[in-house]
Amino acid sequence: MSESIVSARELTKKYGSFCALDRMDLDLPLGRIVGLLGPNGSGKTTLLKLLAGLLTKTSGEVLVDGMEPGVKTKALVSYLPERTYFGSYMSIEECADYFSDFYADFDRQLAYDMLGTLRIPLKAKFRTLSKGSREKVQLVLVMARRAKLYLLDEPIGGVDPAARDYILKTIIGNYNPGATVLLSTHLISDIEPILDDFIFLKEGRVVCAGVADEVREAQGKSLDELFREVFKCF
Amino acid sequence: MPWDFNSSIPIYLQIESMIKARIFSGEYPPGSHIPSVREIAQELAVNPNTVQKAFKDLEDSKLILTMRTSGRLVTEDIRTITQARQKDADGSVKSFLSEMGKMGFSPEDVLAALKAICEERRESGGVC
Amino acid sequence: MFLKLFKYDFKRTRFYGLLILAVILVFGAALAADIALFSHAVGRDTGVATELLFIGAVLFMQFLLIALVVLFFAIPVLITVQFYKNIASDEGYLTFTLPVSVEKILLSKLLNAFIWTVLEMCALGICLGMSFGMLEMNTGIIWSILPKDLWVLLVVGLYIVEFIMSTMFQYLLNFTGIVIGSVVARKHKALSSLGFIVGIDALLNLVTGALYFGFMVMAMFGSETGWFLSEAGTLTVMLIFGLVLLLIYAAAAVGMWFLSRFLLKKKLNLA
Repeated sequence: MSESIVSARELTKKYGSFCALDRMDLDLPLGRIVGLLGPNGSGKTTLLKLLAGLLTKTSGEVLVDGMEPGVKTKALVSYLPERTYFGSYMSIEECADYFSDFYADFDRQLAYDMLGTLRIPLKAKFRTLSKGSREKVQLVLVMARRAKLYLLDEPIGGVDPAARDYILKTIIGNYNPGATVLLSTHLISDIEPILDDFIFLKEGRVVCAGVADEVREAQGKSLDELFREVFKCF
Repeated sequence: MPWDFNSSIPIYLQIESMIKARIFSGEYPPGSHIPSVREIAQELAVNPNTVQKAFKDLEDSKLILTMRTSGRLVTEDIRTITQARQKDADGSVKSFLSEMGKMGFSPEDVLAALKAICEERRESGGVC
Repeated sequence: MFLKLFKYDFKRTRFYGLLILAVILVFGAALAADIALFSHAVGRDTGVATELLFIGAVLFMQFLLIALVVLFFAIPVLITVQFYKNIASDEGYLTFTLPVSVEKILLSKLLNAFIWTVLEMCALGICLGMSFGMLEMNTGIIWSILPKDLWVLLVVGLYIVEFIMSTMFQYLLNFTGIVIGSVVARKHKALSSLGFIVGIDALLNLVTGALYFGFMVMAMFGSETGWFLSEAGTLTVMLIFGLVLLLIYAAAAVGMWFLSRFLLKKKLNLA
């Protein structure tokens, strides 16, 4: 499918004997906000890292915009990891310079506008910011890129509710039909209103996937309820 | 502040209801501009595609018109608005009566209860 | 892209790097002053005060020399640690999502190491210059014992080149050790990296040690036949020995480059 920004066939990733992704099949079209949902250890982070080019697959096939993850795909993929990845010695402005230097699709003005709204001083060093502020800054810089694929790993985990609202609004506000956002989370009820599509991941396999509103229409359930059903522990 | 959605019901339907309510109440007067998909999506903290779907339904029911150059407008046809409002109101009343019916109240019971409540309101200086 | 990478690597090292170089120069100046004092006291009054001054000067010199040696290693440690942070710590997430090839990332860091090696050499050169200058001023010894042939410059030049090359080799070794260590270990990456640095060093020493051993055996054999003791014999053996040594190091360098490149491209393992 030429419209797919991500396609995977029998994608497998093993760490020694542990199978993080188990013959996964996937097709993500452009212009969607997709939730990657599943319990810890189900392979969400592994999939995102693979798509970002930080891991190499064990077997199977995975394509980002029709290409294998590599130097070319990294130019159109914007990845937000769960952890802080800027050197703590850098100032916010330097981080923006960094992105500006390496990513042609980085919109510096947009980043500065968003940072201004958050009242984060540009000269502040990363290490002086609180955890919540650091996460917001990283998100702002990642979303200020006009990428084709955004990979957000737990963008709202461990952040206070006000920050959560801001992050969700930023993701929505940044949305454009030429891009797809794939975000992983275990805070489903907070995130489901912004999702187009969802993927349930269990032990490295896709156990359920579809359009969020269709589930609501056909089954009268929220994604949160469906999730509990699919993943219930006895 | 994000709208408090019921995540068990299709969100696009809830957005539709909300926009219709704003049209019926006059918050979006006939012929006026409606905020863009993006603005509403951000206001409500929902997916823009969902808002798009709601808008499409509203366009199909002729409550909203999309102009090529000037964006989305509420229809100027008061009759369409009134008819839609009536239809929705009828629907609400019907489901209300059905709810009351489950509790054992007949429509006459409900009417009597309404009258009593109205009396109370008027006596305490309110409007009914 | 490559120059941009280098820009950031250099900027990062610059702060502490310049600080260390400045301290080296300060200590170097102190050493030169001390030597001036020392060489001035030599051969003059033999009063007690002068004796004490003499002893003090000597002790201070020892301290400064030790400090300079330590400072000399500060820059390689700094650059190696920064390499580790950039590649194996959380910063790796940033480094490896950049749309640049692994080769450029590695080369940028090697270029940075090279520039700072040159800068450090300049600083040391200045220190030596200051100390010898003071010595020369007070005693005139240096100029009198310095051979005035042109080949002295050649020898000095070769020493400088050899020094730079062996320093760069050590950097490549450290970098490779870090790459292997961080790919192999899931936790304790720093320890693992250190282990591999030491390990590769040890392996290399083993190989070159074997070469020396072989050389010894040949020397013993040669001395039996008398061939070794001839000038031509000695020169030939030394040349061969030198070439083989060079080959070993060249092969090791090439091997380490390709190994690092391969591991970062195919076996990246960011926890």
